[in-house]
Amino acid sequence: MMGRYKLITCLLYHGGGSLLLKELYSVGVFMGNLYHARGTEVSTPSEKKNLLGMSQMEILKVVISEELADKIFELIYEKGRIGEPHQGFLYMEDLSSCLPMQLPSVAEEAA
Amino acid sequence: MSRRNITVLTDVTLITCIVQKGVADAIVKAATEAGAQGATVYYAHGTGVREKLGVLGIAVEVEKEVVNVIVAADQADRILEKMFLAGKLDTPGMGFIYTNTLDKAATYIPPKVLENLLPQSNKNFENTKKVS
Repeated sequence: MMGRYKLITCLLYHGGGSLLLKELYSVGVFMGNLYHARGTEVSTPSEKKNLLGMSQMEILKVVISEELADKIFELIYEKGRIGEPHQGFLYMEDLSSCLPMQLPSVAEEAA
Repeated sequence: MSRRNITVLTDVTLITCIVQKGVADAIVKAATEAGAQGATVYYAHGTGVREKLGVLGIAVEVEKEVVNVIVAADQADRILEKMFLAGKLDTPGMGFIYTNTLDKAATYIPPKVLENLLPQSNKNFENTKKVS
């Protein structure tokens, strides 16, 4: 089942990615992936940076169908408090093709 | 219920640069000096050119660093060029760099910046959308 899909990436400067991922699971979004990174942002306070001027951060990537993309973008913005200072950065890009992961239902699995 | 705004940024480009471990900091420095507001670095494991170079391939580090920089579309070429030069990407096996255009982006924008930019032009600020 191919269709139009978007990739939403959220850079979280203060962690909380796993909670955000759980929040996405609760609304039926399962194609998410979380990993760690180090990052720098010009406006980050110096006490939150290491000697190289970097701070620890998390990256959350979510693949979502085009129809739901804007709604999920707004959900991540809200739950990740992206609109507040030094919280993170959120962006969305188009995917040229995608094969969505479909989890089998428990009833199907039992049968 | 309180209402909040999302200011959606458009004309944004993501620059991704994959280099050998230890090179990323120089690239981040070059990008920020060229005008980038920030960068993200994470580790990866790479393969490809190391195998193609044969014996010389041992000089290529397997562990990689991936640098992501998000910039305004009109700055992308200039910053890419500086990153390319800082990473010496014209040398075989040093890494590669590419850009892709983002649909939209959002982050905290200081009210002062927003006040100054929104009335002038809607080029980079597509809309300020109210969400509940």
